[in-house]
Amino acid sequence: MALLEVINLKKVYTTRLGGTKVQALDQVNFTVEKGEYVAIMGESGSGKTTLLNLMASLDRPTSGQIILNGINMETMKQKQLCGFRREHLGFVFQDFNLLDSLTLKDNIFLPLVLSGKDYTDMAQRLLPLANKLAISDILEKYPYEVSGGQKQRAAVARALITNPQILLADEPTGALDSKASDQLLKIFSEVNKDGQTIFMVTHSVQAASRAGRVLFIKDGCVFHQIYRGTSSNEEMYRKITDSLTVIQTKKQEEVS
Amino acid sequence: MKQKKKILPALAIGNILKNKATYVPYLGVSIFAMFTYFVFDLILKNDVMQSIPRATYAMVLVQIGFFLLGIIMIPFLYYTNSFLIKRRKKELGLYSILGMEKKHIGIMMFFESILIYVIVLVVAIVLGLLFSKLIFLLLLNMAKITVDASFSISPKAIVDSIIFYALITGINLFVNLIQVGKANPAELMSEAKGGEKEPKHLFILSLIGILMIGYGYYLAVFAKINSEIFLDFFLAVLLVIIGTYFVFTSGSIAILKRMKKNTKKYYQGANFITVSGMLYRMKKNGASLSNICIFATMVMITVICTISIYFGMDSIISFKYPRDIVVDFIGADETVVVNLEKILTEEESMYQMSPKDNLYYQYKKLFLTKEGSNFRITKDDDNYGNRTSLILMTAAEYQRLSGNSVNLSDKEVLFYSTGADYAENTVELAGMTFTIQKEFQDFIIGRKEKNNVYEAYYVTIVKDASVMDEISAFYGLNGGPENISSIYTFSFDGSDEEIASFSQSVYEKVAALPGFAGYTNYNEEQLQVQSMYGGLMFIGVFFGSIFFICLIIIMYYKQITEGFEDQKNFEIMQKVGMSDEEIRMTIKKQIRLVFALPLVGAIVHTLVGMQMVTMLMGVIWMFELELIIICTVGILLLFALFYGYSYKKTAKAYYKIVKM
Repeated sequence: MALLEVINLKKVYTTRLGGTKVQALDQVNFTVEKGEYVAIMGESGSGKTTLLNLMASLDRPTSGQIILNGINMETMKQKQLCGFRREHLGFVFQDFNLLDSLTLKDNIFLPLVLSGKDYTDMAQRLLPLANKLAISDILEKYPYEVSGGQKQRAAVARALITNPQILLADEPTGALDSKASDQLLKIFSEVNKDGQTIFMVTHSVQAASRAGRVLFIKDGCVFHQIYRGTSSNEEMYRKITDSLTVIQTKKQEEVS
Repeated sequence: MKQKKKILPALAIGNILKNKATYVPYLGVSIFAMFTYFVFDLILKNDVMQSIPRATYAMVLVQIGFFLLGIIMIPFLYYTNSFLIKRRKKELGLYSILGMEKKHIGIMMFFESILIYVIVLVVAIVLGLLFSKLIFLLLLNMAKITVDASFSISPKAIVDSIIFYALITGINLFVNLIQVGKANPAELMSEAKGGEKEPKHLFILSLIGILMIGYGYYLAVFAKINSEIFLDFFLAVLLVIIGTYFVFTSGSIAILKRMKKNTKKYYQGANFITVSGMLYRMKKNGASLSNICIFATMVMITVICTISIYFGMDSIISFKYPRDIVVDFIGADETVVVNLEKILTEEESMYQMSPKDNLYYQYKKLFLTKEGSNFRITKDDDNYGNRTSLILMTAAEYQRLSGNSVNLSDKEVLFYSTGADYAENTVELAGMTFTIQKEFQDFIIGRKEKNNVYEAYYVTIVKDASVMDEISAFYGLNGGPENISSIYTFSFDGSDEEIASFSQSVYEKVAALPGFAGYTNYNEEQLQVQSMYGGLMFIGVFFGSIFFICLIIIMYYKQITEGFEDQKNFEIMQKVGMSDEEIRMTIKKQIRLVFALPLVGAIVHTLVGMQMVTMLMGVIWMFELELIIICTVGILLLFALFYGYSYKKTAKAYYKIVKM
């Protein structure tokens, strides 16, 4: 059985005054297997962020189902969802979303503390993670005292410390320079190699080229997907650009 | 070009409307402050005031208040303005990025300032004109001045207000323009982010703070009324203010960091968020919290004093002037009293007034210096705190006045102090040691008040005139009945005018009696004192309310600032997996703590400070301890209630922002 199943997912936004309806997602279907590294690409307004928000249970779909590890999120109550989110999902955001009031260490501990974990347990979990992410030296610093790359690595640590079933990343390299981006993507590949399932939304071809599979989303539908197979990162990069070109030209044809 | 000219003022109006949440309180406090300024000025500049008798004291106090108001308002309006400009920097940066030149932003801000200037002045002046007569009557009423005067409006006061507020607006506009002029758009856009650097030497600074408060408290609690009390008072105030600042900025952080070190407790859901949140808030807000604490203390002490004096006025007057008229005589001629009473009876029937509380006694008064239990002749370099006066009276006179029979030997005396108890078994007078048979606690010639120091005196009852003469001769006041002083004192009811004319008539006749030494009508002085205290209360009322409004504004602005910061945190916590309910609870807890700390601090400060203030009230003859205690408790409760209410109000504004 697949780790994550998305079935006929549909999301319609209604403007506040009840007027126009905007279809953000329309009949989205895909599955993610355990240990997979999936990137999802698409232009602005294609529905990427909506999809991620639905998967993160931050928003409710209009219709359709999201099933994680056999549990249908749709059937859960608001309160349960909070705990579910904390224990089964890990998040990495474009703008880090670290609390300025906490040190990096405490930011990383936040989800564990909320789940009522013991301090020794937390410390044990942090040690290897901090080493892997090269943030051991800056754990006592505050987010406003460190660089963007360091912030994002701390955010990754926060996402991973709960041993989530799936790591959801929303444009994780969006606010980073190329060097920090590269470093982060390497980390993603490594944790994926260790068995972590990753689902990443991105604009960046470079970021997507590290993934095992790339889904293309357009006008609220999954439009196309490519598998890495045995290709190297460079080949994958080329495949993605080719696909993008095809999508782009098709669109122009449609317009003309 | 013409278009642009119209756009800038339109934008200015729009800006003020859009930033209602921040501008309305600013306008409110400015209007109230200018209103008070204008009304004080109107009262001072009024022609009527010159012609009202006894208004001088009240006027001097209003004048002082007017001056202080000016001094307080400039920094306070500067503070509120700097808050406003901080909030708006991002918006101004955006204008700049959208292509508005610095010059245009400047012009726009100029229009805004003009608009606010006009609104504040017009409203303040209109309100001032409407209510000035009422407030004027309030002042006269408090000062117990009855006058049937028409209150005229002085154009000079309007001009004063226009100039004064122009000055304030000018300063603020100037500062704003400099800030905008210096910064580039990117700087304007990036809000002040992140926590401040942790202050260093936390432990030492908090220790210093605690020691300072401790010593300030010590001074306040163990203060003795003496010539240094005012010095001690200011020292204590200064120490407590600086100490409070240290404790709020460093002490709180030190404690929170300690809590954080206790990993077991710290990493537990609610504690974790609360402690870290508080740490963050205290780093940013320590200073403003200590301001709130000090302001709150000032409000409470001002109001307590004002109310105590208001309710204690009668007691003060009756202590200071127990009877209206005092006639002094030299010599022990009993016929004088008979003649005087005859005169009074004649005048009484003529004026249809009846004297009451008549009191007559003979005594000898010595001005001496007290050294332990010894009384000696005063030398020039003696400390004023030890100088006192001693009244000698014979046992027979005491018996006549009190109705108690006494039996004293040559070396025995009865003793009485109008201030703190003498509390010794013996007293050394004229080089002789007298045993005190009894120290009594009340005596008709002067009310006892334990806190009375400046004007306290001692009364010694000796066996007979020969002992009295022996003692007084030693101190240079030669004996004999011709050197005895007598007092005849009494009061009467009636209007001030009636008393004045009756008193004048009595005086003319009494002055002709043999041995006449002086005649004083204290009714006039009473009225002067009432006028002075009334002025004091008037100032108290206005300053109490101004301080209070300033306090609320500081809290409100602080709350709004935090609201905007927490908005983001709220979102993050939600994403990490906290439910709305949990977040709201923890934020509520933090806000309540941040609010409660200054209140608790202020209440403790006030309670301790009142020890010393009570002593100082004694200097102005206010000795009603019970009244002061009731007022203190009442005001503390009332203040806590108001404070809680304003917390609720500001918290509402806060949640509105957070939930946006």
